[in-house]
This record gives sequence, structure tokens and C-alpha cells, in this order.
Amino acid sequence: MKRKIYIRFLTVCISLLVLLVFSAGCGTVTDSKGSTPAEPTETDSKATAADTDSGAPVPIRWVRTGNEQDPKKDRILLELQRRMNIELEIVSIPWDQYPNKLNIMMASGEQLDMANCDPGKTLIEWARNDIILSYDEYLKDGKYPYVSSVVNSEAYKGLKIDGKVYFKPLGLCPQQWGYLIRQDWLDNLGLDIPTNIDEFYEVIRAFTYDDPDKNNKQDTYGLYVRAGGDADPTELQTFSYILRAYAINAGAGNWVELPDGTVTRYEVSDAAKEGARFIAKAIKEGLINKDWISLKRDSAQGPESDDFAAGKYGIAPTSIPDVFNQKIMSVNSDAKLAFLPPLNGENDVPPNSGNNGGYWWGNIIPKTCRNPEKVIELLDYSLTAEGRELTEYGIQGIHFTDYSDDGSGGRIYRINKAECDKDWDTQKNGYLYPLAWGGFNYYEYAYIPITEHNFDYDEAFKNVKAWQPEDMAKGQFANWQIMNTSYSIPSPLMNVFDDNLLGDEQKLLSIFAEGWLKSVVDIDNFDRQWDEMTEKWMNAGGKEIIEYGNKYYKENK
Amino acid sequence: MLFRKRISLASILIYTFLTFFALIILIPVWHIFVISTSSPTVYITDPYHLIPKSFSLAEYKRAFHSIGGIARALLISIEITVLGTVLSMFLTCCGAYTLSKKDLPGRSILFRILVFTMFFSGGLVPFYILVRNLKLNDTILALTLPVAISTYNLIIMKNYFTGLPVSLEESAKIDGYNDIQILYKIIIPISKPIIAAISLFYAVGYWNDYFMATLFISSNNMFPLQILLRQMIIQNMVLAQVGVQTVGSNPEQFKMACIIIGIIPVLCVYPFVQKYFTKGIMLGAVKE
Amino acid sequence: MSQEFLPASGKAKKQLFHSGNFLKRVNKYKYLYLIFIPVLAWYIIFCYIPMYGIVMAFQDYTMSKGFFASPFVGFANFRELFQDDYFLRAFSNTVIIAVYRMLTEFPFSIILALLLNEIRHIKYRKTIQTVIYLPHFLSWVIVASIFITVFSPENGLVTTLFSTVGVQIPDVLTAAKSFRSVLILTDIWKESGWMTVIYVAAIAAIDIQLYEAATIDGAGRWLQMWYVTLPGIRNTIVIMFILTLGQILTWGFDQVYNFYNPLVYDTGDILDTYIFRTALADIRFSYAAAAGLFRSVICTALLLVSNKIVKLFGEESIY
Repeated sequence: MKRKIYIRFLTVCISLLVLLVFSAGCGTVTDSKGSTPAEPTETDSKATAADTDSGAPVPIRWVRTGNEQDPKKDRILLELQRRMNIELEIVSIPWDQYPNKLNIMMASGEQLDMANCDPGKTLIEWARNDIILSYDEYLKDGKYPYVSSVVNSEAYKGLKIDGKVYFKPLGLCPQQWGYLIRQDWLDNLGLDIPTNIDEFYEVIRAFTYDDPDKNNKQDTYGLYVRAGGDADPTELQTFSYILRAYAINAGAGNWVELPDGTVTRYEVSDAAKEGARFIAKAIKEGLINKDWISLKRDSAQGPESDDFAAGKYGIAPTSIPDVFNQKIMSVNSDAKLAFLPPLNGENDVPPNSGNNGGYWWGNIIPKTCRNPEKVIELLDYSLTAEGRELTEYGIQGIHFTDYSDDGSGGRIYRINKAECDKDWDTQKNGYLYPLAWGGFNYYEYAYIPITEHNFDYDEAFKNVKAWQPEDMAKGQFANWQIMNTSYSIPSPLMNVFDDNLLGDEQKLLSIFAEGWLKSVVDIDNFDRQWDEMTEKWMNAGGKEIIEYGNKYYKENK
Repeated sequence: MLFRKRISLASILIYTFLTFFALIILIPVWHIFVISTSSPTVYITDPYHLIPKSFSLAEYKRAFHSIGGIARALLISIEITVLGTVLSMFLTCCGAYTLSKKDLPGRSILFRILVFTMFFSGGLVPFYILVRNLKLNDTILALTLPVAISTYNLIIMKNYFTGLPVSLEESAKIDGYNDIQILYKIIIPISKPIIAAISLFYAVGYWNDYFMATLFISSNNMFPLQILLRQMIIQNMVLAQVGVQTVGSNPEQFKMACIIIGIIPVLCVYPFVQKYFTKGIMLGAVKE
Repeated sequence: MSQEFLPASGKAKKQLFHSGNFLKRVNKYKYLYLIFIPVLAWYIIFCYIPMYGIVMAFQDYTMSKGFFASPFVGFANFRELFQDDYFLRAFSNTVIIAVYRMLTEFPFSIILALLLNEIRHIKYRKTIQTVIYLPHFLSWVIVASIFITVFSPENGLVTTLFSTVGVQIPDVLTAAKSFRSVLILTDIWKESGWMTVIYVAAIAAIDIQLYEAATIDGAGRWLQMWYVTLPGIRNTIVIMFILTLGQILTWGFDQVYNFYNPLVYDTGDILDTYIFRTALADIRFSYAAAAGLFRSVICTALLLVSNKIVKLFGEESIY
């Protein structure tokens, strides 16, 4: 009997406990949901009040990645805070966990004043559900002309969500990547720099089989590819060089205009198929290293530059030509490098170097922001010449002594290296202050002359001025970015973020990547593999995307 | 005679096998060390050598220089590991010992409550909200308390306690000890190997963790060592990927130096734990 | 309902009735209940309170609406799972790799522990132990980069070895056939040493008198291993078997993620990598949650079934 009573007692206890747990759980959540919006409005009014009588600094809690600077110690950040009358708190998230943690922070309603993120489906969802604020209402009275000129430019108009601005892109040159070729190898073989795909084929063949380094060993390749771990092999710069000879800005996710005026996705276009077939042939003939699928790409281009310096291959894609040059010189002083321009394409495709849309990431203002005006003011300041200089080269008299003007707005800075070393790791970041990238702006070693072009951002963007440190200005590849950008042509529907155009983006990409690789390693069954991939891709939602894309393209032409 | 011979043959086989296995493991780790201490030109021209041809600590110097707070981060990591392990072991011992009593009323349901959480969880967002609402963010507690118990370890320990001879406790009961005293005065001292093993599991878990830290630590001066090392390796890549000119850097060698820096503290501490694995602890504890 | 609270094992049930006064027994263990309070509290706070997140699997969850306002869709997410060929492929890969692991790595670490125990030379033994624990502290990113060079068809160690004896082997890392073996081998390399810790500890706890008695009886080392060491850790092996089986479907994300490439999706794409690569990146959170929940159910079933089987064989089960 007593046992029964005990059990009943235990049952009641446990039920109570469970009830408690759930009420506590729900309580916690409703609590957080209820309190977060209330909190900012309170502080908001306080902050604005403080702002108007220029009292206490306005706190800005900013989420970004790749940050090592301490706003309480770093001299440049201290100066920025003083100039803007703000108090920065930087929430720093390691690179590989960034999207994950930002998602969690946003979903949990955490108080944030400013965040950096990628555009895409997540952003669209945030915007549609008012998790982030629109810039428009703060830009109405023209108080922030710089930000206004950026977000309302022609280049970024596709980034608007339902016609409203939620995202201020960080301007970036449309193409920082280019190609180096071993001029000394070409000379040894009596070849010229290739200008079309057939000449290119001859060159990589000769680089592989004709002993370009004259060491009587067959130990070189035309191309050295590292595709390991990449979900999208067409994104690899090595392959892009070939694929762009068949389509402008070739690559998964992009669009291709067809002769009849309609558009289709690159993945299922004939241009993609022809490009892949060329690569399949090169693989079959052994013109590419055998371990290309498993070798990991290193974003720092460390192994890539090491292998290039060791003379394993003759054509290298890079965004850091000086590093490649310096490395190869350290082990082989006879090496001679040259810039390899994009090829004249097949079927009248012009030489093109790809296009990244002209930005990398952007700033958003979460709903929980305490003082949106101040955040936009900060962004606005960062685009001025003064703000750009501070975030790129630091404080005059400390981090640099002075600069010389080249007469057209370009500048060459004389860096005070010892002082820079005190504030950041110059061996890693070079003499460019880490805030120069991924913070407010992206265009490194450069200045976008918005004022000079009467706040016409598109015009300013075309006339970007190089702001370089002395060392760089005299290198062999000093105008690397400008050179590559001059070949940059956007593909149709570039920078348009509409969820109907994206579909199940990553699933489609996965299908494409798998099919693409299976096709190129198996040239005997190339067509069968390719058709199979196309069919799967279309059935996974690709068909609807192309239909919608054509509709959109017609309407917005 | 024959018997002895067979044994020594077996010994030879065992020694050979283990040495071979250890070498297979050691060589790549040694290679990492060699790369990290090579001079850059030696590394580029011959990346696959195992006998050091040159010696340079440049990458180590750079690692220590570029992570300003490496000493602080190391201290934080040690704090996390020590605090976390103590907390974990306390809770795990309490839980495991209680559940090791077979005739404990309600044992089965309590056990099920625990096991259920091995498989089902609410996901990251509710977890994050909870920790934030407990105001643990940006404290060492956030990295230890929410992950203090591993049910897996608790079950292993419970299982070990169940296997202990009942006579031990009975004699202690006669001496007038209560259950808590028995646990701390008798059970724990005779369970040193398993306690050492589980502590090692917890400690290594805390030491290696970076996920919890990325989730709950947002200020740079609270970052533990693993985050710093990882951030250095990964950020290094990001910077170059997006085009910042890094003349004079050797990302590969730098990466290897960071890996070695992460392993050294473990190698220093490990021998102290190891001694608990080699003795027969039960010797003379009780005679049945 | 009250059946729930009966202790699971038959033996305990008998004891329960024999001991008669129930409350007296509760009273007997009052101190143990006391020290269990913090443990239970921890589980409730950190495991059960966040548990409401599970509803996501039955919702069309959007981040902005959260768990309480997102519309419920019943089992729609699960239906979508089972109609997705790629999910089914990933699931079957996960199961197959798990079975391989149970058959190879699980016994291997036991054998390794037994062999270590046979080494009488303490310094040598300590060195070996330290060395085989080392790779546990390397992340999979690093381990993968090591083995990619080792297996490389270009000038990798393995290929070179084989070609010197005249055998041409294919690129094992990109061939769907060999990819699973690569996963198993590299995991043995990295983790088998570490997995011996628990067995080494169990062996250390074996009463030394048993060995002494065996020696007196004239048992050699093999017999001692068979009749003393193995029975001494049998219980641990059983528990590890059940626990490993219960967790086996959640293994290996980091490893596979760092080794695989689209060419081996056919055999190597596991649940976690598939969900990470597609559903999470496409912010299909509900789909991912449904996949996770489905897996949890399978894991629970595995644990319960293996526990039951172990009980049938008369071994000590996990509860």
C-alpha cells in the first residue's frame, strides 16, 4: 500500500516538475522576446537624447569577423571612437563559425547595433520579418549622402529587398584574381602568351610534356589544380580561366544570355558543357596533376605559391602576385613571370575575367539597434576620404608620416612600420590596417572618390583611386586589381537576390558539382553523365528557377 | 622450454607491432614539427624531408607575437579545464554513484531521464537563449556549466561503481559511515583508474573545445587558446583569400607552428595522469 | 502509468517486494537522493528546458517567427525527407560506415589495450601510450591534409610504395569504392589509441591477486589474458559496445567533411555532411531538425535493442 502511495506521490512530483520545466522554458523565451524589443526603445530614447546634447559616447555593439583589435587599446579605434563620439564594442566571431553564430544571435533576439553579413536567403527572411531595419527612412532627408549614394547606386540595385534597402555592401573591385604565367618557360619553348583556347591548349601541353624547365625530367604540369573539399569545382580560378572562354563570367549560380535573348542558368548551358569537355580532355591527356580532386585548396594560397615556386607548374591563378613573385625569386632567380590576360573566347565571347558583383559582404542594422542614426553616421564617415584614410592607414604622424599625391587622386603612403607593428600584425595583414577590409569598405589599397563624382557611386566606382604604400607602388604587378577589373564583365541578373531565383541553392549546387566532376573524369561517358546531371538539376527545382529568371529578366531589362 | 620460447616469440611480435603502430603515428606528427622549424627556402625546395636540414623558430616567434594575449589565453584555457573538470567530476560522481545502487527507488526513471538526453536535444537556439538568460555569456562558467555532464561518461562510471564489491560498503556502514562519506572516503579512493580516465576525457574535452567558446565568448580578451590558434590559422587564410598582400609570410609553416603550440601543454601534463593507469589500485583494499 | 516506475530489472523487482517497507528504503538512500539533486537539476536546466526546440521538426520554422509562432506542418518535413533520394543515400551511407566501424575499430582498440598490457617494460609502455594518444589532439583538418599527401596518386607514399613493387593503385581518395576504407583506416590512426584509455583504466583496476593466483596455478601470459584480463574488462567492453552503438550514427562529420569530394558522395556522403552542405546552408532548418530527430529515434532504438540483447546473454546492461 505504502508503495502505491509513494508512487502516486512520485508521479505528482514528476508531473509538477515537467510542468515547471515547460513553463520555465516558455517563460524564458517569452521573457527574452518580450524584453528585447522593450529594452532598445528605452535606451534608444536615452541614446538620442545623449546624442543631441553631445554627451556620453553612443554605444555601438558590432558583430564582425576577423577582428583582433581591442577598441579600448587600439590607437586607431580609439581615434575613430573619439571622432565619432561612440563607444565600440566588437563581438568577434571566428571566421568558420560566423554565419552559424550570427544566425543564432539574430534568432535569439540578442541586442546588436550593427552586423556584417552576406546577402542571400537568410537576409531576405530577416528583412521580410522585420528582424533588420531598413536604411531608407534614415536616408530620406539626405543627411548621409555617402551611404545613400552607395545603396541607391545602379550597381547594387538588385540587392534591394522588395524595393527597400537593408544591406550596405562593402565595395570591392570586381575582380582581384588574375593569372601568372612563367615567361621563362614560354621562352624556353619558343611559345607566345596564348590568346585563345587552342593556343592555350598548346601551351599547357608543352608545359607538361616538352620539359619547359630544361631539367630533362618530366616533372612539370601546365595547370596545377587543388579542388579538394570544394563544393563547386567551377569556382576554382584555374578552371574559371578555361570556362570563361566559353561564357561570360562562367560559374555555377550565374546566368548566361542565349542568342535568342532569353537567359538560362550556367549549370545547364551548352557553354558549360563545352568548357567541361575541354577540361575532361586535358585530364585525360594528363595535363593536370593527378591528385587535383583531393588536394585541398588553401585560401591563403600557401601551398599554391610554394608549389609554383618549386617549379611544379607554369600557370597560376592568384590574388597576391607579389607573394608568388617573391617566393619564386627566393629559390629560383632565373624565373620570369608575366601577366596572363583572359582568352578571346569561342563563339564571340569577349575576353573576360569574371565579376564578383563589386562588393564583398555588407553592413546590416538589426532591429535591436539602440541608435540606427549613429550607426549610419559611422558608415557614412567611413566612406569619406578622411574616414577611409583612418581605417586604411591609421593616424598621420603615427602610423604613416605623409603621402604623395599622383595628381589624379591616387596616393602613395610613407608608412611608419615600427608604429604599425605595435597595433597589428603587419606580417599577416601587411601595412594596411585590418579595418580596411571587411569592416566598412572593402576596396583595399584604394579609395572610392564619391565626393569627387558628386555622389554618383557608379561613376566613382569606375574611377577608383589607388592608395598604396610605397613598397607596393613599385612592384611588377602594382596595378594588378585595376588590370583584372578592366576585363570584368557582369553576367545577366548579377546581384539580384530574389528567393525564387535562388531556390534550394546549395542542394542544386551539390547536384551540379557531383555531376560535373563525374563528367570530367570520365570522358568516355561524358555526354551520359552530363545529361544525367542536367536532368537531376532541372527536377530539383532548376526548371522553375529558369522560368522565373526569364520572366524577371524580361521585366527588368 | 617450448612454452617459454613461444612466449618470447609473442613478446617480439607484440613489441614489433606496437613499435610499428607508434611509428606510423609519430612520423606525420614529427613531420609537422620539422616543417614548423624549417627555414622557408628549405621548406619550399623540399617539403617532404624528415631529418631537419635547418632550424628556425621564426614562425613560433611570429605566432607568439601576433597573438598578443597568448599567455592570457593559455591561462584562460587552464582555468576552463581545471574548473570544468572539477565541476564535471563532482556532478558525474554524484550521479553515477547514486544510480549504481540497484535497489534505489525510482532509479529506473531517473536513469531514463538521463539517457533520453543522449539522443534528443532542442538544438542550438534554445540552448543559446538559455545560457544568455542565465547571464553566463562571456564568462568561464558558460564554457563549463552547460556541458558539465556527459551522460556517456556518467554511464561508464556508474557501470564501474556497480562492479565494486558490496562488502566494501557494508564494512563501512558498520563503521557508521553514511552514503556520502562512503562515496568520498572509500569509493573514490579505490576508483582511481576510472576517475583518472574520465577526468582525462573531460579535461581533454574542455581543452580541445572551441565550439562552445565561439558560441558564448564574444570579447577577444576572454578567448581560450584553441580559439586563438584556430583564428590565427583560419583568419590567415581569409586575409589572403580576399586579397590582402602578405609578403613574406609562410602560411603553411605558420599553421604547423600553431598546431605544435596547441599540443605542447598536453604533453607536459599527460605524464602526471598516466601514473594512475599503470598501478593495480585495488591491491589490498578489501579481502573477500 | 505506475508501471513506468517499476525498476526495469527483474531481480530488482523481486528485491523491492522482499524488502517490504518501501518508504524505509527511500529513507535508507536519503543521502544519495540529496547528492543527486544537483545532477537532476543540471539535466532539467541544461537539457530539458531547451528541449522545446524539438517542435521545429514539426513546423515550417522561420527564424523571425521563432518556435512559438512558426506554423505547424505535422509530418510534412519527414515526408520530404523520405522522398529525397539524396537523403536516403546519405542515410544508408551513414549506416554502412557505422557497421564497418563497429566491426573494425571497436575490436581494434580492445586488442591494442590488451597488447599494451602485455608490455612489462614500463618506460617503453609509457612512451607508446603517449605516442598513440597524440593524434587525438590534432584536428581533422590537419589529419586530412596529412593523409591526402600520403595517399596522393602523384607522389604520395602509398602510391610510391605500391608502384615500386609494380602494382598500380587508383586514387583511393576519389574512388567511391575505396573511400569508406580510407575513413576507417584514418579513424583508426587518429582515435584507436585514445579509445584504449578506458580499457587501460579498466585493466588497471583488476585485482592484482587474481594474477598472482593465476601465476601460482601455472597459467602463462596468454592464459592470464584469457582468464583474468578479458573477464576483468568484459563488463567495460559490453558497456562500451552499447554506448558506441547508440552514438554511432552521429560519428564522423568532421572527418568526412575534411576528406570527401563530390566524386565520393555515392559512398561517403553521410547524414551530417548532407544536411550541413544543403539544408543548413539553404536555411531549411525544419528539414534539418526532422533529419536530426529521425536519427535520434534510430539511435535510441539501437541502444535499447542492444541493451536488451546484452541482457538476454546475462551480461550487465547499462541499466
